[in-house]
This record gives sequence, structure tokens and C-alpha cells, in this order.
Amino acid sequence: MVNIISEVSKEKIFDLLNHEKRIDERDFNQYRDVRIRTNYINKAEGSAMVSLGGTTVLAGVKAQIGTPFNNSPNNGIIITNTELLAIASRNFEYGPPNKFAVEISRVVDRTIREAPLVDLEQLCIVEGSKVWKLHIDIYILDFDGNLMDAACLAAVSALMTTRIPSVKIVNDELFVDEDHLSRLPIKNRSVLCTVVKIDDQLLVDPLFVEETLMDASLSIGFREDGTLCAIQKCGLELMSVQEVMMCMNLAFNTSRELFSILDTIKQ
Amino acid sequence: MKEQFIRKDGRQFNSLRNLKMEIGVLNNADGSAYIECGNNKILVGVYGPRELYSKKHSKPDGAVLRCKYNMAPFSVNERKRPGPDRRSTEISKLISEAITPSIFLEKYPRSSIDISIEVLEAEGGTRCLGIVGASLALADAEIPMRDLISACAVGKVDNHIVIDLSEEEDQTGQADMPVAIMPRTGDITFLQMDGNLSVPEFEEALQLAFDGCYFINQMQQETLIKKYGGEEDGEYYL
Repeated sequence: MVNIISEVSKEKIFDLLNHEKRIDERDFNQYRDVRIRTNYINKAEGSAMVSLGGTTVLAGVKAQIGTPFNNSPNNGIIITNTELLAIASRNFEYGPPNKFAVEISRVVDRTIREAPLVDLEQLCIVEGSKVWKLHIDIYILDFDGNLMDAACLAAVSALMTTRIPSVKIVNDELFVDEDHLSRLPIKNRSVLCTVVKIDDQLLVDPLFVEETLMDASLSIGFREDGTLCAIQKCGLELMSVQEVMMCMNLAFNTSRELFSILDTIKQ
Repeated sequence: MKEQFIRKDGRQFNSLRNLKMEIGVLNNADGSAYIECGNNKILVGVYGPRELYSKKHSKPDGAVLRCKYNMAPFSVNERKRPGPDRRSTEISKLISEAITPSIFLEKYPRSSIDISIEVLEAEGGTRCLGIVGASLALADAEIPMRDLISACAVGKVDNHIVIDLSEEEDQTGQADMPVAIMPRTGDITFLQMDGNLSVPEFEEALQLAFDGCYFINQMQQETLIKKYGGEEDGEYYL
């Protein structure tokens, strides 16, 4: 994936940054418009389409009954997978998830797991043999930067609106009642906020061009009480301690906005 | 008699499900289309014509049309593993062959036109909707074409020939036959059948498929006119 930006646009972006301006006229700490549409896919147990300016992400949750991992016999399972679709950008290609897709999956997974967003113990049906297995598939449909935040927002919105069938055990037999659906045991909501460093300036919610020119970025996962649940630094350049703390501050303020957007979702 | 046959979902033998088409839905793609039909949701993106880097696969006398049909893991009842399987590989090949005759590929030597068909939710009839969406997306990408390929499926359910099979009809029915045509000439570019039909039934089914394709072609044209202008009450070719 090689992203090429013309020298003219590069100069223009750096020029504007020196005058404290961005190419799309946003403030440095201003998020793009967020739109969330939940329950978009009827065949999924939960789904959400999130658009963040020109970035569009669709997340779907499928619930299946499976066997737990040996080291956590009474915990449900969450598996996160991201696909960078070839329709989303001219630089994306078909094939198994590349390193960028895997990174998104893993950071989103950590943000959800460490919050913890879902009480995994309540997803256990029979200890050691039957638990709910939630597959979160994140589909990148259109790409204009900040996939990390958009993917996390879509995954969290999809999980918040997921309905799973109730299960009864009679004489060691499993009965799945598709007519009685219940919400997932949501414990702590969490969001990811990304801040990029370009030319010693810090910006939230980067566009594709800003990501291409960035020195480094910091994605920070917040829980609702303001504590941290995941951090990922990307990019080839350095970040000073002071810069990291400034990013933290910027990201925290943004996370409050994102939580108030999540509040508008009807569970 | 036939007119009185009411299908499980309340449709007549010749009525389509609720069909919605939209173009220009993606920011990055050169052309795009979104099709909804019942609960089917299909997104098509086109990139190209663009340089084909692999010299081995490029042609000196025309563009190469590359088509990928892909189903989302959450598009079906049982989660589908991501990535290509035998079914989607076959469908990709056939869709690409269904569309190729409509494009002036010879205008773009050594380049490629890439079509991605993403099935976000499937409820029977996705390959036909994929073809319908792909030709719309190609037109949206302003790629010169001879015609807008139209497609629809017909089949046999409870001994009746019906159009646009639902998922249930597809699974329990006696036959399923997707057809794509070049509406201007009436030539067939795509034809599959699975199940049992007699020759007269086949002829009847094919006639019904043509009727459906012409109707869908009309909708495709209206979708394009809605975005790109044209005479509001002009006569369209049918």
C-alpha cells in the first residue's frame, strides 16, 4: 500500500498547518460529523454503519454457540476481524487481511475486551463446554482516514444493539429460543480516539491525506469513567512525553463527545 | 389460472420484490452503485480504467475486466468465513463474462477495470443484483458501454414459473434460473439453471426473465437519469 500525495498538496497542507488551519477547515481538536445507523443488517444479531466524514465502516455481529478456550472455561468468546475492502480505496487490494487490517482488529479488540464492554462470564451457557461466541466483522466500505476510531465506534454500536436468543438446558440438551431475544450484558462502554502528530502539531480525527503525511499517531481507548483501556502508537517518528500527555488530553476531551453520541443509540 | 397463484410472501408470479437503486454512493471509487431488493443489500464499486501493473495479465489490445463477488460474513444466517470460496469464485467469473460484452474494452489497452461486488446482506438473487449493480457502477464511472446489462432470476415454485425467487423459494423450489441480457439486442450474456424444467417450461421462464430484465433496465436508466439529468418526461427506450 503506497500512498502518493503530490508535492503541491503536501506544501499546501503544511502551509495551512503553520497558520493553524486544516485542509478541510476544521479546528485541530474538531471531530468530523459522526453518523450511526444501527440494525442495518437484519441477518446479523447486531450491526451498525458508521460514517465519519468520508470514512464509512459497517460492523456486523454474528453469535454462535461454541466451546470455550481451555484457559477460560466459563467465559464467552469475542473475535474481531477487519476487512479493508477493495471498494474503499484504490490502494486496497483483495486478499487475506494485511498488517493494517490486523492492527485495527487487534486494537479494537483490546479496547472492547479490556473495558470490558461485554461481561463475558454472562455469555457462558455450560461451564467448560458451551459458551456464546461473538464474531465482530468490521467492513471498511469507504476510506478517508481515521479507521481506528470509526471501526471501534461501529463495533461498539453493533454490540450495544446486539440481541442474542435465550438458551435453556433441559436434561443436558440445549434449546435455543429464537423468539426470545435479549440484549448483551453490557458492562463498560469504551471508545477509541486517535490524535496525529504532523509537523509538531497535534490533530484529532485525521483525514487520509493527514494520515499519509503524519509523523506519528496515538490511538487511545477510554472507558466511560475516563480511565484508559488501550493505547497504540503508530508511525515512524518519535513522540516526546510532553506530546503524549497533550495527546491524552485532546483524546480525553474527544472521548466525551463520542460517548454523548453513543448515548443517542437506542438499545 | 396462473394469475391466481399467490406466493408465500404474497407476491404474484410476475412481481419483483421491493427494488431500490442508487448510484454514486462511495467517495473514493470511480463509480459505485447500491442495490436493495427485499432484504438483499449489495454495494458495487468500480475502479478504472487504470494501469495494470502486472504485465503478465495485461493485454496490448484492450483492458482487462476484473470482477470480484464477495459476501460479508454477516450477510447470511450462518456466519460465512471471510475470503473467497468455490461459489464466489464461480460467480465472479460468470459475472465478469456477463458484463464484458457491454464494454468497449478495446479503448483502454494495457489497463484494467476492477469491479467489486460486496454482498452486505443476502436473501436470494444476489448474483443478478450484482450484475445490475455492476453495470450501473460502470456507467457511473463513465466507462463507455454498448448497453446496460440487466439481470433477473426466474424459477419454478410449486409447479408455477415465478420471477425473482426469495431465499425460501430458492431453497425449496424446483428450479432456479438467473438470466442476464443485453436489452438493446435481446442477446443473453449470462444463463444458469439449477433444478428441473421441461423445455416448454424453460421457454416460458425465459420469456418471464426477459420481461423482468426489461423492467429492471428501465429502472437502471431512470436511476442514471436522476443523477445525470436528461429530459424529465422524455421517452426512454424499452
